[in-house]
Amino acid sequence: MIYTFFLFIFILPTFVYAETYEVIDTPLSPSSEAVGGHESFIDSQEIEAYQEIFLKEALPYTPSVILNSNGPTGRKTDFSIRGALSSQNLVLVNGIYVNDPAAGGGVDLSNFLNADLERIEVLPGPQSLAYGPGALGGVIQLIPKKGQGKPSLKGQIEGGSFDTRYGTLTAQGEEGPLQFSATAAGYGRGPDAFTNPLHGNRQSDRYRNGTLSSRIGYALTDNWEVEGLVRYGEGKVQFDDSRYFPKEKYSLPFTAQNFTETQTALASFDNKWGNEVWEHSLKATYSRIRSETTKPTYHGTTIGEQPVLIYSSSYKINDQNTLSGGGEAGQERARNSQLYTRSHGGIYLIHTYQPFEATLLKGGIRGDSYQSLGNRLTFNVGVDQKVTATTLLRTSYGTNFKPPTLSDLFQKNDYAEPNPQLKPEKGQSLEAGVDQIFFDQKLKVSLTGFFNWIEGMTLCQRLPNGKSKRFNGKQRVAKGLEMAFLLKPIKTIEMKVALTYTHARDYPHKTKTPLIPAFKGAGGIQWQALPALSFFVQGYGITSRQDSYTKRRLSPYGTLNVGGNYDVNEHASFFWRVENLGNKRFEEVFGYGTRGRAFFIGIEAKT
Amino acid sequence: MRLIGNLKETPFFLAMVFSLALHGCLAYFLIPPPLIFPEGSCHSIEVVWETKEIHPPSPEPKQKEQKAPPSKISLSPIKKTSAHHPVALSNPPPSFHEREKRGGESPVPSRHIPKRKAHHPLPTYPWICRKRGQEGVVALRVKINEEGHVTEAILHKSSGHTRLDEVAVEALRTWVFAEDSCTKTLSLAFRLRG
Repeated sequence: MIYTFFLFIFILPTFVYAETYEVIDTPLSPSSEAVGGHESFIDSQEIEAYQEIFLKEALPYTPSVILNSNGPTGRKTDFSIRGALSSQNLVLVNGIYVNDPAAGGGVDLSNFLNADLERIEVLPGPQSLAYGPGALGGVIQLIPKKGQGKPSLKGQIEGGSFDTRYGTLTAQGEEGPLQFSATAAGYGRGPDAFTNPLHGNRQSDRYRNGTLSSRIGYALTDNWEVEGLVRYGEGKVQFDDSRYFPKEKYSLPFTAQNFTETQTALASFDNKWGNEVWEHSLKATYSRIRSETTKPTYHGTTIGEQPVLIYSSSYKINDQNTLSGGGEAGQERARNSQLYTRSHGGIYLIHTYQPFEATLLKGGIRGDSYQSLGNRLTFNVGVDQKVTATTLLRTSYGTNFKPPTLSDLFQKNDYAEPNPQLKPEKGQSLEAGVDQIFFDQKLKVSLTGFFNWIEGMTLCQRLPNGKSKRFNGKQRVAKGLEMAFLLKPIKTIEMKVALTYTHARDYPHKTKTPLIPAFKGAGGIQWQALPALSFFVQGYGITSRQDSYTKRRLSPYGTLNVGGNYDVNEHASFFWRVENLGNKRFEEVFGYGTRGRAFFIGIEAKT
Repeated sequence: MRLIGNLKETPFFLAMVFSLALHGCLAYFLIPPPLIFPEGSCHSIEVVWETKEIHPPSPEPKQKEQKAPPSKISLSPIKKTSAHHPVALSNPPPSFHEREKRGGESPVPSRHIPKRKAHHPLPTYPWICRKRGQEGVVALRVKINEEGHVTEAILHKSSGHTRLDEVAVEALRTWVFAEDSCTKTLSLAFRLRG
């Protein structure tokens, strides 16, 4: 009775008399890059739902990316996008270049933790004009967390098989014009070497990682914001020595007291201002990757640095036309025994034109100048055509190039001879696709066909003295199909699948491109069984492919992960997962086996 | 410590100092200074009401009331100056001074004064909030005086974003309600779509 009285007197009038007004606008985010192409995203919710600790655990679930690890977690991890190897793609952390000019221009993905990431973007194909040279296959952009909502604190610890320990602490939030997010994460595994059951060779398996990350934004006015980002990651891994195995007739990795310690320091300061019509950003970025290798008989250090100043702007001429443009100037520095530097600069202009409501056209041109390499011009064009409210057709074509890295040009060490005559690799890329929505957004399907040509591939040749030397080879042609499905049949179940077919060949001999499987399938299902209880199943599999150095055939494999999460209350939850449920033993690179089934359990607390 | 040591070896610190100085200079020259208005000028809205047509009251008020005829009085603003967006008032009631200006004649009977039209200009979504992807619902409790103006706007429930709350309160202060002398709870939902 009292409750009814209370309801009528106090609560109902609130609903009856409350008026709601809506202020609707469009988000301001750079979208012109995606015209004509397909962009894949992995957000922090998905990362948390599947309990993916490392970047290398999340990326294979996008259609375009294929990973190759030299063994278990912590070991060197290369990747490819549409047939282009890691040194032929760009990796950026919120616009900061991560490719290491002192290590062949590649990126070792093994040391990237997901703890501070809000979003992972994969932009394959020719839409990468604004990001600059080097993206022959595509761009991977990592966006660290920004503070959102009330200031809060979140901590997580977990442990499991192979002496694994992992913990994170994140403070984030908004306070007036201030947005802040700070994350500290630590990971450790081992020490316990294991025997690769495929070859019987003992392999080392000790690894630790520490990451500190902070992103702070401050709105000085309604039209002016400054933002600073600092990210530091340190990883130390034990690696193996090669030993000749007569039975295998090949040298295989064998456990040894060898260590690689990598420190990656990234920083940026961004100054953004503008209004609904014209936006500007002036950004100073700096990256420094230090890699130290310690063996009983050898000690070497390389340092790669890239300070870059970037200006970008977007001007909305009218409802149909938008101009985006900008420029950058920077320097690459590579140091081992000597310091080598190279300055570069570039400008670009992209025009997005919407002649009709359903049609979006994009054209862009970019000029780059590299010290000692001269000037290069690249361009891209793209079209989005909405056929119906649920069907989008898109196509794009573009050119790009990748300058030879300083380490390949000049650096001399115990393993490699430099080649100052190296020329840039030139790339062309064409793609066409369709995005289709079915059953009132319950099923989203994306299908993309692509062609990727790379001319003057930088290849490695073994010299009589045992050292390797880079040279410009012929051509690599990669073509294929990428499919992505997102199915949400009911509110509590979400299924995501990525299927990829790639046909990659190296000319003039038309040999199979190493480490690229013909088929890749990856996907996962999340099930919210109860409001406080959820489960996931995640699977990944690839067909056979050829090893890079030994040219041996690597067997196909598939792995399955399962896990769950239970919210005890709004402040605490615990979670568990089983990795490699089928206890599959496989190799992504010949000789480097991976561990079997593993169990993990952890708790999370938040304010 | 190793990192700091290594950084000191490089011109990293110099680069950062140079970068900060460069940003400061650019910001100083490129960012337009905020508009500053003299105190009191921000909300100065001068409205002069012109009486277009005034007819004497109907001799048969009862009949008029039954037919509910349209108002014969049309008041329209002829001059507005505002430092902010003009507040488009429509058919406001004549003020006490205006009634006096009409020569002290018997004013139009109150039942013939047209009811105010509600005027609720929505705020502009701040650029910085669109840039940051900030959305939310702001619930406000407002006190309305006898002229339909807001005398007090209290934040009832925050959107979670201070700037959106501020923009909602600022906008609401300019609203004119058809109702008078009452308290209302209403909400402004800020949504980003597309």
